[in-house]
Amino acid sequence: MKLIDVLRLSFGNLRRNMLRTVLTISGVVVGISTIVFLVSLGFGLQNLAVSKIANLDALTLLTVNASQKEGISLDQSAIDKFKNIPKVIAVSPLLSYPAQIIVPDGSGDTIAYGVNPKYFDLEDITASYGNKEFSSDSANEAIVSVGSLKAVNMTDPATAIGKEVTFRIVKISDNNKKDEFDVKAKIVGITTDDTTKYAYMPIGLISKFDGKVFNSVKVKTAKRDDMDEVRKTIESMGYPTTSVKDTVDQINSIFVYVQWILGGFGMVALMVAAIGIFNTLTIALLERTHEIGIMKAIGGRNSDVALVFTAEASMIGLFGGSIGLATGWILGVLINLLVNFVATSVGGLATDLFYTPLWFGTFVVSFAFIISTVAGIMPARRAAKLDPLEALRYE
Amino acid sequence: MAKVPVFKAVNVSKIYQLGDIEVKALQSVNLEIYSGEFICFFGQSGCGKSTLLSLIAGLQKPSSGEVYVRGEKLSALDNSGLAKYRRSKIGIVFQSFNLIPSMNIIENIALPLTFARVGKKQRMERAKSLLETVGLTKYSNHNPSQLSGGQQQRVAIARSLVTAPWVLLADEPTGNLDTKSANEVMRLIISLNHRSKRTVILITHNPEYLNYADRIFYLQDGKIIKTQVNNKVKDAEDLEEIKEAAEQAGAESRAEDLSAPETKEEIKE
Repeated sequence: MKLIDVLRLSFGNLRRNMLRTVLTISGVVVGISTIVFLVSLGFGLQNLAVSKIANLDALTLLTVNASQKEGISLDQSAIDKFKNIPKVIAVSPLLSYPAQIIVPDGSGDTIAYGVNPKYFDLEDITASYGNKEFSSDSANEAIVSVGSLKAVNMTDPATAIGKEVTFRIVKISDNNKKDEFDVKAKIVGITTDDTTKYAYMPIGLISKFDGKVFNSVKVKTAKRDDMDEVRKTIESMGYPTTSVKDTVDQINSIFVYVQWILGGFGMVALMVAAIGIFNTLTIALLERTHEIGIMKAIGGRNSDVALVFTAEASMIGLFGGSIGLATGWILGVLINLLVNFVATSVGGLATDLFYTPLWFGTFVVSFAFIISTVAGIMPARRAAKLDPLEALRYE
Repeated sequence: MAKVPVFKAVNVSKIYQLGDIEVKALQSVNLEIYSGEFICFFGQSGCGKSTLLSLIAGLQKPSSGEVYVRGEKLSALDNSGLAKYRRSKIGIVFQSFNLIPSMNIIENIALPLTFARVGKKQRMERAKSLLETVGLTKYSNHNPSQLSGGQQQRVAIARSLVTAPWVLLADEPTGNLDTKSANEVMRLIISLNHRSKRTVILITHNPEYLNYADRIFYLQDGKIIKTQVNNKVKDAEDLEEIKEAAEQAGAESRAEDLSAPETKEEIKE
């Protein structure tokens, strides 16, 4: 029998007992929609967690740290080498020292970072007040966090802009000798970060005192996928690297378990549905025994009979899977809308709790298809093996 | 006769095991049936005539002995070989019509061609022409339950002929029909034999029909007790009421289209 005829016949059989077909399909719908709903929640939470840690830009960024090994130093020649690695689009060194911020009526602790102007762009640091960048590579300027200013009672950012302050930079050399340098700089920009204390200054300003070796170097790649390759190249030069991607990978690996557990609940429902399919087909087998006898008597092969039954199970799975996917997805979308509506109306940020990736939708429908087909195999084999004459006599 | 018989049964026995009791449905039956013959199996119920027919149709296997079809052993065929044999070489008509209730008339007729992987357009055309032959064109899209018994049986005959088989096997095709319908059906079967030279094996217990057969095998207790050769075979037209019924069914005008199975192209698979 041609496949198209098998499908025609199976579809006709499903239509013949509409109520039973609908009920059996509903079983699959419940199972699949539960899986889609719960796993989409998992994906949504995962996206939420990852986006809190890193925006997409951060995943193209690699931090190269100073090597502990003898003879491998993170200096200007290393930076030039990094620049020559294919797919690297930006390299920005970083110096960091513990420092004190000193104003006429007090002082507070902070960390002084010496950076290039383009560093702000790489790290996605935006000053909310004043300038977003330095006027030059060695200007006497600083961009500081609100946190640093609090320590010296300069709580109003508007008045702090343009003030000249002294940064006392502390350098601890290899033999534990403590050196201190004072640098005067004008506050040109302020970030809203009030939990962390830091002050960015042009690298040229700080490297006057030291500057031969950098604490770390930021390397940006064109695409996220380029990261691993660039990272390998740099690590093969002997420099340890870190990336936000490491954290994100960890979170992702945890969420794999979360999704399996959530999917597992739905899987239980799907198993019940599979038993339902098995049951439906077994009853159909009894009902249609006489018909199977006729089909065999007029020249139907055993395989034709088996195919018709299997196709019925597969169709139930395909319909149930598709409707289940749509149901689970729509439910998630509705809850997203509701949550976003509530969140934005109380002034929060809109966030999606449910997210259904396309590949997962495809996977879940295929899964329903396969499970249902498997559930249909046994009744189909029984139907195929019926003795034609006995089946004909069966009323 | 030097011809190879269409069917040949050699010492065929069939024993059913019902619990501890052995039922000998057939005991050492020998027969030969030749191309173009109209054969009747005649006997009381339980005499084994249906069993014999089902062995010839390959619907079951004999307990001992062998059935040959054109010289080939039927027992040599596996399940799918038997399915192909039933699909392409023989057509079967049952007492209880055995149409599939969920399919309409035209689909029922085309079903054997569906199994033979014939395309939809082609098989529908063939089914349509057979529906015309049995005079039920306007019922094409009806369901079997909407037709009378006689009409259903004519559909069943159309179905049995759709693959242009050598042989028509009919197991009491008129058993469930009133006289008028029975005559319609018999007229069709007789004309299939007389006009299209198709071999027909008819099971009946209506003695009236025996006059139309070339040879009659009388069965009793699983044995062929008598073989009778009919020297003066009646033509279907001899029976006036049958003729009338046939005209109503439009069978006469179409009978010549049912060309002899030997000349018909075999259904390719």
